[in-house]
Amino acid sequence: MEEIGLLCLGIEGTAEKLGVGIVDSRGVIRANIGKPYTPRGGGIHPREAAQHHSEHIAKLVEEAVQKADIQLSDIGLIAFSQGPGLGPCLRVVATAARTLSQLLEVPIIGVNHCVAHVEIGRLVTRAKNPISLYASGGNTQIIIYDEGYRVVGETLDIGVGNCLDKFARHAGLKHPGGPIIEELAKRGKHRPLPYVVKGMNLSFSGIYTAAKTLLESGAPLEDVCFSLQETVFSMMIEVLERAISHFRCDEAMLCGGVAANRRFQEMFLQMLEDRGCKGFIPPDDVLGDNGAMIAWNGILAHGAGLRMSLEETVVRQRYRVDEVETPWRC
Amino acid sequence: MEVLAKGAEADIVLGEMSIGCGPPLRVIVKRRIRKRYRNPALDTQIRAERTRREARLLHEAKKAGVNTPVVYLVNPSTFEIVMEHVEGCILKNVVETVSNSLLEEVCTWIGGDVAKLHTHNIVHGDLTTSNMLLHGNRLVFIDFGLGEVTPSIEAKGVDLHLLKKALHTTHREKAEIMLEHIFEAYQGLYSDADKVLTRVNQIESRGRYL
Repeated sequence: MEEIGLLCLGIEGTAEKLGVGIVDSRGVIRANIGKPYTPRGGGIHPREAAQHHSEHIAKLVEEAVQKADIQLSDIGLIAFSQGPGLGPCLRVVATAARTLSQLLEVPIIGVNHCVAHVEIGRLVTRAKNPISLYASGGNTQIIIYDEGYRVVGETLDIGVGNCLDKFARHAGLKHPGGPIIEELAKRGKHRPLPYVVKGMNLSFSGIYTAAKTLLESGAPLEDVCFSLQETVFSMMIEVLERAISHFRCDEAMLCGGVAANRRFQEMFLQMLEDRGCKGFIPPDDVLGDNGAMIAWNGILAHGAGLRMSLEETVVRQRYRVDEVETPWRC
Repeated sequence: MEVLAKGAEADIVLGEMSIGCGPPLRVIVKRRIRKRYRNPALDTQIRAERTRREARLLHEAKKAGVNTPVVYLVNPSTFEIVMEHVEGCILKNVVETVSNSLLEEVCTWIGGDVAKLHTHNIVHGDLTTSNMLLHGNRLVFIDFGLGEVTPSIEAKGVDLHLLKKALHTTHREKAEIMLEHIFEAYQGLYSDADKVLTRVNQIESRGRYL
């Protein structure tokens, strides 16, 4: 095992998706598997999601080890998503990580979920210092690195994915609604919806309400899906462009589950081409929540000398990006 | 015509405008450019709306006693505003170099001007040091395209919240001292200041990870 160095097992479980990844210290992803919790109806129920995670975590760890073609005892480091996220889910993941760390007698390290998205993106796309647009269910942020990660723009209310999912549920579509909206939008026409951009920040809750009203007034579902997508994606691309111009960035990257939308990716690349800025889009398997990103961030943090006592592994539901120590980037 | 700046949403072009028999006037043409990524119908709607809105708010702000460029012409169909060319520098570029005493004075002006805007129910929508020009001892506000006229305490609170965030990200070292002077002047000139500042705290505490 000498040639691959340290093997880190990372557990992700901040929201509905449970993921386990194994990454070595050269940055090779040896396994990256996941299991999403699907609500029976309505949105994510935190306690049910946590229940789902605790039922599947042991099996998932086992499968990941098999997939990586190693023994559990080859693992030299355990990393887990410490926050931000849903409290009950975070606690299940942290407990599993502590158990593994004690069992294997290896160090444990808690990772910031948002920073992990950016770091896995940098690893797989080879972007050096990109400004990142992180668009997922619960998060919508523009992140830059300047002596630490900083959020320079974000949603003032709900995440963009949450806005799409809520609308999908209202329209009777299955969870997760994003991919279905993407398909329906291909046959839709534009109808005006509110467009809410405030400097480098965004608001989505009013658009959700307006889209609901538009549908109730008899507009075809395809048209509402099209307009909803075009509006929220344009808003995000616009604030990203404003941030690129403000901070004079020459690289930009997408991350988060919503970034898997092909129309969104097209808009992102068109904007960057017109601006003369390089664009990076990680492949789908590391765009959304996944265990490999947690494992990789664990490798980075451990390699830079960060260590955590068990007391320090307490979950952080509101763990902010700008609180993260990032000695690996110095 | 000389392109002075290419912003995220508009080109700023330096031009001249003939006025009767006098020498031509030096003007700025702000032209909102087409965004290829945006659906054409949505793109036209946004550019026309912001052009109209900006011209109107530049004028309203001036009536409220805040320095803004004089608007000469508005053409929503070409998405252009022709306005006064204000000499002077973008505040963002000089915050780090001016003396502390001047910076404090400028912050007092900022707070006073935002108070005047809010007293007249004008919400700027993008209060950053990139949107303020310093010309001698005159502070000039620009870029009202994201603004609105509203009596809403929430909207005014968001306006200040965004200013706070912008200062913290752009001028990290000086943000606190700047905000102290800005809010002090704001409170001195606006009767609803306390309500708005209380709302700013609420907006912050409901932020996702704050």
